[in-house]
Amino acid sequence: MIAKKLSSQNKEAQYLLAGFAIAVVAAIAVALAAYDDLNRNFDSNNWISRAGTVIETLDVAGGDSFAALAALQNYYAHGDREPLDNLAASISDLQRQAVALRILTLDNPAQQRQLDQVDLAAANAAILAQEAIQVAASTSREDAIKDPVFANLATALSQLRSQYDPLSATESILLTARTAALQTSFRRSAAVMGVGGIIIFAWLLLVGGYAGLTAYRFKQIAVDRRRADDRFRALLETAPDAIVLVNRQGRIVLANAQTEKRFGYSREELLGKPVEMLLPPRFRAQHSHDCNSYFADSKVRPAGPGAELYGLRKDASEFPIEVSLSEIETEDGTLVSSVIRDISDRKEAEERVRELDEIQRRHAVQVEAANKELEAFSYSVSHDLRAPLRSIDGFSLALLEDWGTQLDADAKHSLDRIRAATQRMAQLIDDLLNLARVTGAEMRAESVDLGAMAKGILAGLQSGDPQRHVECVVADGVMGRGDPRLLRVVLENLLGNAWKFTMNMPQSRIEVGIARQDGAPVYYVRDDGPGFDMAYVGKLFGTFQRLHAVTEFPGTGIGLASVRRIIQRHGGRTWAQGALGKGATFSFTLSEHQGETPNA
Amino acid sequence: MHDDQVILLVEDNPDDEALTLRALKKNNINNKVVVARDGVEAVDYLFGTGLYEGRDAADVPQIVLLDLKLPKMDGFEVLRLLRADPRTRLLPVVILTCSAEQRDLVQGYGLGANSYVRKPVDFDQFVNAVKQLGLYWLVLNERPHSALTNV
Repeated sequence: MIAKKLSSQNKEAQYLLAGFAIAVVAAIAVALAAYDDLNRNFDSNNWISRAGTVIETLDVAGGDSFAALAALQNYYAHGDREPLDNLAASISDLQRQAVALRILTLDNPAQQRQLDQVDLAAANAAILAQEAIQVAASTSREDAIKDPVFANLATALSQLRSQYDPLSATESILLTARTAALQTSFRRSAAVMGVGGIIIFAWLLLVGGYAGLTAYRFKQIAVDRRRADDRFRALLETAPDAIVLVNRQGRIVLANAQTEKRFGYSREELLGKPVEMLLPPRFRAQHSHDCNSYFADSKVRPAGPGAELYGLRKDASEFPIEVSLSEIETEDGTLVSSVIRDISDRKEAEERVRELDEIQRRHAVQVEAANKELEAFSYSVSHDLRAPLRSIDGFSLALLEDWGTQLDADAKHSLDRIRAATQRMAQLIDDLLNLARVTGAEMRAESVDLGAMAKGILAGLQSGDPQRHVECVVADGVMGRGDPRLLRVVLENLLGNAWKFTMNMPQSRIEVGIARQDGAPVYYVRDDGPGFDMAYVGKLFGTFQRLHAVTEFPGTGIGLASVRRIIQRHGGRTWAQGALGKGATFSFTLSEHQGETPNA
Repeated sequence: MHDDQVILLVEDNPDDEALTLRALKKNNINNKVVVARDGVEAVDYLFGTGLYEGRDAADVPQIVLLDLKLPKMDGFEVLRLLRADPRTRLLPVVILTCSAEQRDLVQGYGLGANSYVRKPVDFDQFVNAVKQLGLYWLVLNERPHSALTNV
């Protein structure tokens, strides 16, 4: 862009120069034309002034010839000889004047011819004047004037005098014409100079305006460039990465503040030095090779992503970097800008992520191993722990059946108790296995209709105990989100408990519903059974914890532990409320989130 | 009851063996019961190999009561071999085991078991279960007559 502006500036300078040259040439042309005109006018002027002289001379001659006539008449009338005597000199003057006129009008043949007449008349008059002077001198006035010479002289003088008028008229016409020509010429000169001057002035105005405009634009460009430069520098200095400009020779021509900071060199130490000084020696040969290829073909990008590159600080320490190169066209030729990013932090973070991943992977392996172990354990328990129980029960019964007649009542009772204990042990094993399954099972998250599920379970309980009268109330829209299989275990346990603890009541009520606590759904199962003492509420959800004797209500004490375990796995809470003789309410939420954000 | 029809009981636990035999007897199932105490023994009996070298493999038992946890070769492996052989492909096999694990059930049926019965701890219940099994598999159930020779 800057280069383009420069070329435009050159062009504008050329235009300006051409403009001024045209103005100078035009001025010279006008000046030459004016000089030529002036020369010509000067000649015309000469002619005009000569015509003036001619007319003046003619006037004098006219006057003189009139004076000669007057002198003659004076003699006629008064006999004055003196003017008559001077007559010859006067005519001689007239003849001299005629010579002068002849010289003045050399350019005009017509006037020359007229002057011939003047000369002739003057010569005639001069001869007659000589004769008249002699006559006058020899006789008296009365006699003298009778001599015809005087009449002839008068005629000759009149003739002479009459010659001057046409000459004067001709010269006047000439003067008028010449004056008019001079005026025209003057006007033309004035027009040439005036119009030329105006044109040149206008042109100079135009060129000057253009020059002013150009100068303004140049100034603007300079301002723009300075601003661009300032911005560029500001950008460069505030950039988070080290940036160096490198010329074709691989020397640093510019480095920013980050370069100083990251590499520990001052700018003075960097400028003019090979850029390889910023790289550890093992990278240098490859880098300079890469740089050359980059100049040859900018598509070749040295140190692309993936290549592990390190920077070398002044103190010889190294740090991981990532370099991106780009080409910059400048007045000083092609430069390569290298943006050098310190990726120590990123590397560290990556390392940390790797470590965490490894830890997580190890945990996952451990968890999987633990699950596997638990599974194997469960399997083993279900197979191996139950087998002896079956033997104990089976052979106890065999004893009773085969030897019953020989056993007394106490012995039979003991065998019955052995059999009851094995049943209970078997139940405990099954419940424990279920708890283990609840803990380790994979979970799905889907929408579950807990209301429908509860209705189904209650129907099952009712059909197992058809003689009982239990009012089952399940609210509408009891929906939850979680693992359907595990949530069924929860409801089975809670409803099973409610069913179990109300079994001695002729009429009872079990309620399943949903409430809101801080906007979050709270599910509950309520019964009107014997309830419990809130002092023992902490023991309710513990494994194998029971608040009632087995003889009172059957059970292993694992059900509520399973419930709590499942709800915990869903991120929810379980709690119970009750009082002795006032029934019990078991509540749970399904997600921690739901409890904290009412609108969620 | 068909006294000539053999029941093959595959059971490694002598207690369970005794109790099962007792349960059969209590239900008046008087078929000859052959007991195999591990998987290999069961396979040998069925194919007339090893310990039962020379036995006619065409003479297949009426039913096999198969435990899963067995020494040497487990119940699943036995079942797989039975179902892979044309002679025993259609032989009724009832898995009789302590395990109620879902995956055992799925794998058992997947390999072609005809029934899966969990041995109850309560012997009375067990006797009842054996009674049901006998009634169903030895009396009610019809087997293809020439299935074994035709295959």
